[in-house]
Amino acid sequence: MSEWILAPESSNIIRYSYEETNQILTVEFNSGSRYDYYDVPTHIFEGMKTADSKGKYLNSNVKGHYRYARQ
Amino acid sequence: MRIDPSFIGTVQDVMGTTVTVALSNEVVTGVSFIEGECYRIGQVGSFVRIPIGFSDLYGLVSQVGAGAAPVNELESSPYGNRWLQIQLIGERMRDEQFQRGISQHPTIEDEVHIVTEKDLHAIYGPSDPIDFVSIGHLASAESIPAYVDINKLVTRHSAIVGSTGCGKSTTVAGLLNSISDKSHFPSARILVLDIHGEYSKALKGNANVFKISADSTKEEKELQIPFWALNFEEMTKFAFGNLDNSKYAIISDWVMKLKLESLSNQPIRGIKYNTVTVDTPIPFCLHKLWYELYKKDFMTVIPKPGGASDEVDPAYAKDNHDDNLVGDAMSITPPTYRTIKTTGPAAERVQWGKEPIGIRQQLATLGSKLRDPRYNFICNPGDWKPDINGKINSDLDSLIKNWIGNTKPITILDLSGIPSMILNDIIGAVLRIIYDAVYWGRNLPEGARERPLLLILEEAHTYLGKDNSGSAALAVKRIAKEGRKYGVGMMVVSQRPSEIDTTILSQCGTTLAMRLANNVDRGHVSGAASDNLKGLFEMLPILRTGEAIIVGEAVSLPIRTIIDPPPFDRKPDSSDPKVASHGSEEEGFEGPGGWNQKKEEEDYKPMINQWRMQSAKYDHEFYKRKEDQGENNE
Repeated sequence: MSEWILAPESSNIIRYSYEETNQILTVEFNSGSRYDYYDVPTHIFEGMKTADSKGKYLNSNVKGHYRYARQ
Repeated sequence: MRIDPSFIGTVQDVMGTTVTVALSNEVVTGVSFIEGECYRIGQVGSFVRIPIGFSDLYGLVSQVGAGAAPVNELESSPYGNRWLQIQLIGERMRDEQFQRGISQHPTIEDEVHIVTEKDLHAIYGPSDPIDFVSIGHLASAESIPAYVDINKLVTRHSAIVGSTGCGKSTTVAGLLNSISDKSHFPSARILVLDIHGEYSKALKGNANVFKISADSTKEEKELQIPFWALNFEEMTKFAFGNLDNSKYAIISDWVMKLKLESLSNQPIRGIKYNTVTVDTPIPFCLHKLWYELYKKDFMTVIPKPGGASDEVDPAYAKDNHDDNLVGDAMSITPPTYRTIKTTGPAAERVQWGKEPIGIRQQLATLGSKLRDPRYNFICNPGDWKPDINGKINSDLDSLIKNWIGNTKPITILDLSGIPSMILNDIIGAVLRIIYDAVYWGRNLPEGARERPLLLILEEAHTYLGKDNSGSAALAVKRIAKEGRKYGVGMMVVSQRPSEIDTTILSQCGTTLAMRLANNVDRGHVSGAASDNLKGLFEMLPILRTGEAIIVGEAVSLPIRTIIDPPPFDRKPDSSDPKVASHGSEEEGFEGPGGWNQKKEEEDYKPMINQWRMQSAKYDHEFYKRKEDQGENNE
C-alpha cells in the first residue's frame, strides 16, 4: 500500500493514494468509503496533488475517464 | 413558596403499582433549577422519587395531563389538568444500592420529587464493576453511562430489534466493540453469523473473518463447512433434496458403508467400529457416494449365457482406444454404459442392471453441486475434503478452533456467498456442530462453561420464521432453551420481530428495542419483554437513530440509551446508497455515484465476470486479460 496523502482542504475527500506500478488511484471519501480508480496515468495523479480543489479535479479529470470500483 | 426545589407534587391515588400524582401549583413553569442544573418536570419516561421514611421509591412517568387525572376529577383546576401517572419500579434504602421491586407503597399526600443527576448516578451506577460494562450513555443525560450486566446479557440471551435504517448494525458493532475490549475481556469469545457481510469492516482488528471466496489481502480466510460434519438428515437434504423412505434407507446404507470404509483406512481414536452410526461425524467421500449410486442407477449389464441372474458383467461403452469408459469419481465423470439390446445373438444382449434406486434426477443435481464453485465450501472444503478413501488432512478440531478458539475475540462467519436455498440448513448445521462440540466438552477449559460463547444471529427473521421448521430454527430453539447451562448465549438481531418464532423471542432475557415503526412488531416486542413497563415501549416509533430502550435481566431497570457507535472509519458496511449525491461540479461530490452526476461510460462485461466468478471483489488485471483474449479470438 502506498502512502496516503491527506486532503484537509477538501470538503468531500479525506485522503488519497497512488500506486505507481498498477496505476491505481485510491480515494477515501468523507463517508469512509474507498474507491479505486484503475489505469490512472502518473500525470493525472501529479495534477491531483497540485490541484486547488481535489474534488473538482477528481470530478472533471478522473471520474468518467477511468474505471472505478468500490473497495 | 417551595422549600425543596425538587418537590413537584403529592400522591393522590395508588392502585397496584400505578400512582397518580397531582402536580403542585408552585411548579407551573414546568422547569425546576436544582444545583444549577435545569430539569423539565413531567417528561414521559423520566423518573420521580417518593421518599418514605428511610427509603426512596422510584417510579417512571408514564402519562401526563388530562388522561392521567382521576375519573371523578370534575372541578376545573386553575392551571389545567396537572396530573402525572407513575409506574413504580424500585426502591433504594439510604446509602444502599437501587433494587427492583418495592417493599412498601406510598400513600396519599406523600411528596413526589424530581430525580436529579446525582440520584440517576446512584440508580444507574454499576452495582458490581466486574459484572457491568458501559455500552453507551443515557439518552436523557450524556454524563451518565449506561451499564449492562454482561453475565446476564450473554448467558440469558438477548434480542436487538428495530426497523431498517434505525442504526441496528452500527449498534451491534458498537456493542461488540465494548464487550470485546481487549483490556477488559482478553478472552472474549464471540461468533457472528453475518448474512450480508456487513461486519468485517466494523470489527476489523478485533475479528477473524471467514468467507466464501476470501480476499487474502484483507486477511480474510476461506469459509469451509465440510459436508461430513453434517448429520445424515442435513447431508441428504443438501445433497439429494427430499427423498422418500425407501430411497432414504438405501442411501443411508451406502453412507454407512463408506463411513466404515473410511474408518478402517484412517482409524479415529475413540470411535469403535460397532458404535458408528450414519450420523457420526466421520469423513467419507461424497464424490464416491455419487459415483457408486450413479453406477447402481444407470448400469447396464451383459448377462452370461447359461449363468445365474446375478452373474453379470457391467456393459461399459468403449472409447477410441478400446478402453472401458469407467468414469472417475473425483473429477465427477460418470461411467458410460452401452444401451439396452434385447434382440439378436445372446452374446450381444445388454440388459438393465438389477434394482436401480430411481434417483437419477437427484444424482444429476448432486453431480452439478459437486462441480459448482459456489458449493466448494461444503463439497470441496480444502483440508477437510476427504480423498476417495475417506482420508482427510485436517480433522474437525481445527475447524472448531477456527470458529470459536481463534486468535481474536470475535469470529465472523460471512455467509453472504452461500446460495439462499441452503442458507437455512447451513446455519442450522453450523450452530448444531458448535453446540454439540461445546455440549460434550462442557467440563473442559475449551468448553463454553469456562469460556462462554456468544452467538450473534444477524437478520434472524430470514431463518427463524414462525412457520419455519428448518434446521436453523431447531438449533436456535435448542440453544435458547438449554444454552445457558452450557455457557452458550445468543443475541438475536432482527428488523421483523413479529416474524420470529415466539418461543425464541420469549427466551431472550434482555431486549434492546430500537426504533420500530410497524405496529405488529411493536406489539410483539412489548409482549415478549419480561418487564411490565409497557408505557416505555410507546416511545418505540419516535426513538432517534442509534437510540435504544433496554429492558430485561441485564439492566437493573429499563434504560433509554444511546449506544456508543464504533469509530468513524469502522462503521458497518450497510450505509444507504446515494440516489442524490451532495456536492457540485465545481467542488466535487461526496462520492462517485448518484443520479445527479454525469453518466459514466459503462461496460457490463466486468459485471458478468464478477457473477461468473461469484466474487464481488473487482480484479481489474483479470478483467483486462479477459478483454485482450476476447479481442484476439474475434
